[in-house]
Amino acid sequence: MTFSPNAQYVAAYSLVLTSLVLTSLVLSSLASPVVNAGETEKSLLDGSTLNTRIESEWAVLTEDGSSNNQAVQKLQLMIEPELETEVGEDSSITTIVRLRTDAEDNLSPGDHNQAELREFYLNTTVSDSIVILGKQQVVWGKSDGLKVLDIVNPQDFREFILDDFDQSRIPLWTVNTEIPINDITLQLLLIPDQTYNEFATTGSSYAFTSPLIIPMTPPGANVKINSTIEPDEVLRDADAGFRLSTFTHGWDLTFNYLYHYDDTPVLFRTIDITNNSVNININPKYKRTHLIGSTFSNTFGDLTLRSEVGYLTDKYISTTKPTDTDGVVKTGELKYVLGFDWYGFTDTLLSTQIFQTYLDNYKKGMIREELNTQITFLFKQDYMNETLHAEVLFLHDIDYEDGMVRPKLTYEFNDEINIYAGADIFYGNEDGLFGQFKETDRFVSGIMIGF
Amino acid sequence: MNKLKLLTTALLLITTQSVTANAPLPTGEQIAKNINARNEGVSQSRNMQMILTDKRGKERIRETIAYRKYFGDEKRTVIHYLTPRNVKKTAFLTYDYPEADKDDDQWLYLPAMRKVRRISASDRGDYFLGTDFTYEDIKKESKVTLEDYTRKTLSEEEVNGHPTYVIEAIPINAETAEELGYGKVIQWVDKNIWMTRKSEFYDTRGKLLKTTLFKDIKQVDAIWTAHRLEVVNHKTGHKTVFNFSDIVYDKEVRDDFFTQRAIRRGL
Repeated sequence: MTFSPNAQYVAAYSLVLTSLVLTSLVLSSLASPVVNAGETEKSLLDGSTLNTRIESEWAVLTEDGSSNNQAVQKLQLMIEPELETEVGEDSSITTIVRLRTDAEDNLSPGDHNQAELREFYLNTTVSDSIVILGKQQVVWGKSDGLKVLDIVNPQDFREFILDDFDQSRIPLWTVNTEIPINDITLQLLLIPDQTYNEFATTGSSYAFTSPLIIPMTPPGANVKINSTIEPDEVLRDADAGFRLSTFTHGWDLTFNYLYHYDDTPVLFRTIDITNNSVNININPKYKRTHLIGSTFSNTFGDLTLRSEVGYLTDKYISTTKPTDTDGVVKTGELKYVLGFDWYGFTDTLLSTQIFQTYLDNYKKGMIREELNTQITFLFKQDYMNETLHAEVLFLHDIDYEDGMVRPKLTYEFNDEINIYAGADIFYGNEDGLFGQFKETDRFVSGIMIGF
Repeated sequence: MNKLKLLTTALLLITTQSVTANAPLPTGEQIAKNINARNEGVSQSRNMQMILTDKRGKERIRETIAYRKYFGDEKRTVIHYLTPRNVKKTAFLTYDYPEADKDDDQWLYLPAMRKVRRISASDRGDYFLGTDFTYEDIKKESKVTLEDYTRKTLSEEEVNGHPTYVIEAIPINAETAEELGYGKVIQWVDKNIWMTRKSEFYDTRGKLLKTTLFKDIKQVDAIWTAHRLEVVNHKTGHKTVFNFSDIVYDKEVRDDFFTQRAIRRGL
């Protein structure tokens, strides 16, 4: 094993950490007053509250399997100040900035430092309706760890699906309105933001290699990947949708609809055979689809049942069939997840989910199976008045016989400081979604400071 | 004549006192009904400070705002966490139904997940978000569940100078005891205002588990209200104090405060 993070970056990392923590503390003391019971809240920036989250995470590969043969995969510092400013009686503006630096260079090579305006939105009311305008996350669905309807926002796969979704979801500029109509809430969405999934770059730890995602090409073929054709008309290419939600007879129910661009480009392919050479052109292009879905949940004694189902009308799956003219097959895709949470033991959650996808126009040669089944198990237990949390998440793909196990222990040292340690272990068929990363098993530890 | 008057008065006094002394104590069931019949307003809003102290004296302090409202006999409660940062925007919503055979409904909004999570109401013996109060304690506040216990009156005692009835409540069966986490509860109920001033909770093996004190009881808008709750868990040494302030009864609390939409949006 080599434990040698680049010294120059470690020094910079330490410097950045110290200065940012100090800056955040000063700003926090200005904007976030200490409030004792019965006292009136006073602040130098009256009407504003600044909270800051600082997280430092260290990941070490269990074997020297990374592409650049380094054991330390990640030495990351992330700072997220969140400023909430009251404007008027029932309105506020939220601003979240993310500053991230990684002393290692395995997750996004060549991109050590990132600074972004993560969220920026006005949250207000008009009559009885809630209006949220600006860059934000919209979360649909009821499943854990896997997504069916939670696709309003694209995702950053820089760290596969190991990041919390709250961290990996890419916020979008959105007009989000929630209108109460008797016992039903109608949510309307207009998303004039052409931002899509971000994938780990070639050579990085979590770059996709599985043939389930990247179609294989014949040996010796000349492959040319052309630039991706992205929608660029702000309004004409906007996503739009709605959700109806209600609570009736013990059931939480939603009906969802989204007309959107699939956040992963379709890999259209042409094959040209000239002078005994095979030339393959890949033309990535984003395509629109309708998503129709529903969620429901209820409790039965100790058991909570939750489910979501979604149908995508226009899904394009790559095919290995050389005679196919564009290299993709259009199909509908039905996805659903059925989850059971059991609270039978004190301070303990046992949860299991079955997740299936079905392609309704399956053709031989498609890079995915007609039916795919995954299952998940989650064990969570709290100790010491919820200051110590233990959890194990297990995801398994039944068809590809691969999966992932994620044990984690978190200790809340106090209200401001959490420390955690865990592992991300992949196993199984290396052509599978999880198995492709089985050389990147890792131990992870970190500290999170919030104030 | 004067002697006769004096004798009559003395006899009357003796008779009255002896009748009072021999009057049967109200039954545990009657006391529980009196507790539940106590007026607590149609709606209430209040600030609630939670101080959680572990056995080494390390404190965690949460500031929250809570609203409660009756919709007929159905009680709805919502609690929003304001500080500190690690629990800020967490919110808990519960619908407490009057029908004994109908499970209550509960939802928890966890900002880290940005999702409202439906949680089973049968885990009512679980401790509420790191405190020493169970979900059931939080939901019932100063009221009691009639159908979960059989009660009997043990005696009369004073608690901090206040006359109380001491009642013993035993869960109706082992399953209920397991669900609630208690094998027995002893309550000291104020005779005059039908408020519990002290409770002792025993685990299902009969060992003393927790002691709760209801303190600083005074009238707000003519409703008797505890302004401080203290609970000590004797097994873990952990202690929780709730301090209530800015308590307001029957000021308009909007119906839509008690919706999933509201806990997702926060305050």
